[in-house]
Order: sequence, then structure tokens, then C-alpha cells
Amino acid sequence: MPIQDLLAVPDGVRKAASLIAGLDRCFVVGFGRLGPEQTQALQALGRVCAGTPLNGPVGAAVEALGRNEFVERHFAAVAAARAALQGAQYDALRKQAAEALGRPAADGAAEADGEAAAPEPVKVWQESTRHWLMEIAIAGFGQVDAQALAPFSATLEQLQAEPLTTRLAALLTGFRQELLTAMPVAALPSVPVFRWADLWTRAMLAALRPPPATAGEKVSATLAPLGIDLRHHGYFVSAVVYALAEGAAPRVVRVTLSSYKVDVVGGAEIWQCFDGPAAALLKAVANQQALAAEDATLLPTGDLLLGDRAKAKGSRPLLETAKKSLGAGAATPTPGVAAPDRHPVQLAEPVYLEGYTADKAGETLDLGGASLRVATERISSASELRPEDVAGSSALLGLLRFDGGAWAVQPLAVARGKETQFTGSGAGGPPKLGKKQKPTLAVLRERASRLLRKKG
Amino acid sequence: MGLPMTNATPENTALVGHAGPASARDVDTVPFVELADGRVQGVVSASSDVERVYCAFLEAGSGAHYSSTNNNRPDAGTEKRMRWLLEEAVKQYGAERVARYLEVPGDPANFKDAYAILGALLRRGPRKAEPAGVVFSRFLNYLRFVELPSAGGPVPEMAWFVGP
Repeated sequence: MPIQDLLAVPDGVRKAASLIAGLDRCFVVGFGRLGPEQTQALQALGRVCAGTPLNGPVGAAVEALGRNEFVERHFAAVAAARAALQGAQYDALRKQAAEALGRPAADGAAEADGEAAAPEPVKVWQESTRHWLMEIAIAGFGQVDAQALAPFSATLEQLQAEPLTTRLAALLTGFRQELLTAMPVAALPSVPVFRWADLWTRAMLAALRPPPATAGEKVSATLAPLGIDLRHHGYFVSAVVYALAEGAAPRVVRVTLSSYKVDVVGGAEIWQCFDGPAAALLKAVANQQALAAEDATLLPTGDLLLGDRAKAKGSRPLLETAKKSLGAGAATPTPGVAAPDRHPVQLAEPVYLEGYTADKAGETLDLGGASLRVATERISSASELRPEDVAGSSALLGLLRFDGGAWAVQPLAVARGKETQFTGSGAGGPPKLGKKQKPTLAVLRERASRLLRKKG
Repeated sequence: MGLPMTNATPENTALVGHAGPASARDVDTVPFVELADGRVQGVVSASSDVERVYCAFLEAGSGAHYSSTNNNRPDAGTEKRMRWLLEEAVKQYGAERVARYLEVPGDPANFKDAYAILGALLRRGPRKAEPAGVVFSRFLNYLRFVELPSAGGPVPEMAWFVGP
């Protein structure tokens, strides 16, 4: 793989990054108190939208915000413009990665996903969400206080209880919690400006459109697991399983398993959040076995939704599958994301690497003259794989990532001698507990019951 | 094509590095602790009686604090309970974040453990009797998360969340 091709970043991507950085200062300062620099950044955003469908709404937003006219549609326009820039970055970077990997270019326009009709209450909660987001943007991340965040709890609880809005609720739960524990923001060593503006933007977009539909074609497939990308905040976990769907036209698919949780459930216990077909798939990954999935639904993005029937069958070592389907010269199709979701953070091209030299900390790979950073910040604290495992490894399956203006690789599985170390190796069953140890959730429920009993 | 932007900082990245696995929380002693409503608050077990559980809090800035049973009887071991509560808060959130949240005088980065935070805050703070129900209902609301249903399918928004 000509990894050197990834060392340079396309000019357009850099220019867009600089526009976004300017805009993001508005979110820190607050749209209620923009200075000349922030006004200029907004105007630059308006100019870059000229000649696009966003020209009208963004132009109007720039003018209105400039005279302190705070109406929801103007904030929606700013969110759309910011997301459009990042969508363009995603497209350019995905093309760059495909060329560097010698893979067929991804389909030009990513297919838009369908939309489910939103019931009336959902529309009300979405409106309340947009209003809350607008208040945060007017105040600015630097000034927002707990009083401004608190009234949103009631709406958030409704969104959490409605499965149609899982995506929005999972995002808002994490974002709100992060803001709350960052209080007082003035005392933070550094404000994660870009990250918070990202979370704000994605929340605004998700609160503007009906929940995405998950419609696709019915398929039955044998899945050979590749690895797991584990994502979580305190109250929600997603295990994103990458697997090769075997057959005449093999392709890499992605199965997302998700669950709400409480923050103290982490480490080896995190895998206990899943049951049903999700647990069967995790067990197959842990045991490095294939899974026969029937009545599954394949979405246009390459995402697969498991049906009710899934059965383990036959051994499939992760790294063997990876070498065969993702090694040099392989042209196996890989998943993308739906058009509205495009953002550099969603770049996750699965790659199989070997013949590299890792540094002692497992933070950089030397691939014959070119070095690639290991995205250690992407390795969950609950993952069985630690950065140190990369240090002594001879091959790895990872996801090509882009953040902070550069490419990096997030390892999912590494070969260490004859052993394979990977995220999810402990997902096959409950973790071993000491004699006096009880599962965390059992302890919490028992303690709550003591309080309910009105003793004391 | 240009050179990569090598100056990645917490200000310009979508993901911010985390400290790695937090030290294991002792949920037997402190089943619940949170930074909320301008306080570190939570539920703390009694050391002697397995059936007894206290609700406790420590207020930011003032150092006002209290520990009581669910029947609002004051806790004779308040000092001990506050120490356990803070120790677990530090395990869960890190000393720097707890010190910052509690608005402890001085640079939050200088506080390395629960003892340092308590030494700087608790002694100046008065006892402040408040109904235990406030903290207890937060705990029940917290437990609600494990019963919530979630839809299947991709959740691209979770790409921003990797731990801790």
C-alpha cells in the first residue's frame, strides 16, 4: 500500500478545516456576543455557500445573526453549512484513501437513506431540542452554565424512552453529560471546541429531520468476523462489528449492536449489555467463528441488521479473514455512510497491515519509510486490546481514521506471535468474578432496594 | 496537496484522548456518585450494617455537606461517608475534574486525590440538612437507563464517543 499517498492532505480539506475553525469561534464566544473576527468568519461561510442550494438560507442567517436576530432557522442553516463542508471533506478523503489502498472508488454520491414518518410527540421533542441547542449557541460554550442545561432533562427523558429517536437521544445524552461535568467551563484547561461544535451540529441536524428509516434488502449470509469498534459514553454503548459477508460477491458489512447502560458498567462487563442475536454475534467474534445470519436486512450503506435467527458455524480466525479480504490487491467492497452522516470522523476504511515496525509505545507504525500514527484515542478503555499490544505485533486489522488533520490507524485486532489480541475477545460470556464479587448491576439493584425499604 | 496539520490539539479534534481505564469503582461501598446540581452527590453504604444505605452530598464552593438515611436521620459517620463518596468520585471522574467541579480554591490540576480535595473544602463547609429523597430519586432515575429500549441499526453519532 503506498502509504506515502496518505501523508499529504488534499488542499480543499485544509481550506474547509480553516473555515470551520473560524466558524467554531462563534460557538465559543456565543452568537449573542460576536466580535468582528467572528462576524468575518460567518461572512466567509456565507461566501463559500454561494452558488449552492445553501446560498439563500445561509446568506439570510449570516445577515440576521449579524444583527442579533436569533431565530431557529438561522441556526439550522449554520448547522447545515458546517455539515456540508464536512461532507465534502469526507468525500475527498474517502477518495484519497481508496486510491492509496488501490481499492475501487466509492460510489460517487452516497445514497440518502429513507425516512420514517415522525409521530407528533417526536416532532415536539425535536423542536424542544432545537430550542435548547439554540440557547447554547447564543450563550456560547465558554459561558454556558448548569442552569441553562438543566431544563432540557424532561425532553431528553422522552427521547430516551422512544426507540425511534435512539440516535438523537444517544448523542444528546453524551453531549449534555459532557457539558455538565465540564462545568465551570471557564476553569477547563482547554475547551474541546471542534468536538462540541460537531456534537451541536449533529444534534441540530438529527432534530431537524424525521428519524432515518432502516429499510433495505432481506439477505441470509455467513458472516466471518473481522473486528469490533467499541464506542460508548456513560449511558450508551455501541459495538460496531465488521465482518466479511461470504459468498459469490463477498463484501465487508457492519453490524451495530447498541444498548443503554449506566456509567459504572464498563471494562469486561460492558459486553453484558447485549443479549439475543447481538450476544450470538459477539460470541462468534470472541470465539473467532463464523455466524450464519438469516433474515438479516442489508442497508444501502453496507450496514447489516441481524434478524432473529443467527447461529455460529465453523472456525474463522479474524486475521486470516482480514488478510484474505483486505490484504494487498483485494478489492472487497467496504461500508460507507448515508449522505447526511458524512463527516471525516465517519471514515473507517478497514485495512490489513503487515511488515511494519511499531515503536515501543505502540503509538506509531513505520511502514517502510512512511510512518502512520496509531489512533490510541480510539481504543476504548473497555477494550481487551491495549496500545502496548500493537508494539510487539507483526500484523494488524484496523480502521483507517482521519482526525486533527491527519490519517491514523485504529487497531481492532493484532497478531502477537501465534496469539491474536483483539477487542471483544472477552465478549463470549460473563467475566470471571472473585468469590465475593457480584455483577455491578446486581449490586446497584440490591442497594436501591435497601433504600426503598424505608429502613434506617 | 499540503502537509498534514501536525498541530492536533484538544481544540481541533473530534475525539479527545482519554486517560485509559479508570481505576475500578467500588460499587459495594458507593453504588452511585455523580457531579450534578453543583454538588458531588451519591449513595454510600454503611460499613457495619449491610442493610443500611446513606444519601450524601458535598456542595461546590461552600463545602456544605450532609449524609443521612432515607428516613432523613443524620449519619453519625458523616466524615467517613464523605471520604468514601469523594474517593469514588475521584476514581470515576479523576481528581482534577472533581476539584474543578467543586470549585476548590487553587489550581484544580494540583489536587491529586480525594484527601486533598476534602482537606481544602470540607472543613470550611457547614452541615446542611436536606431530604435524602433528592439524591435517592437521582439514583432511581439513573437506574432507569438499564431498562431503556434502543432501536437496532447504525448509530453514526456514537463515532464521537470512545470511553472513557
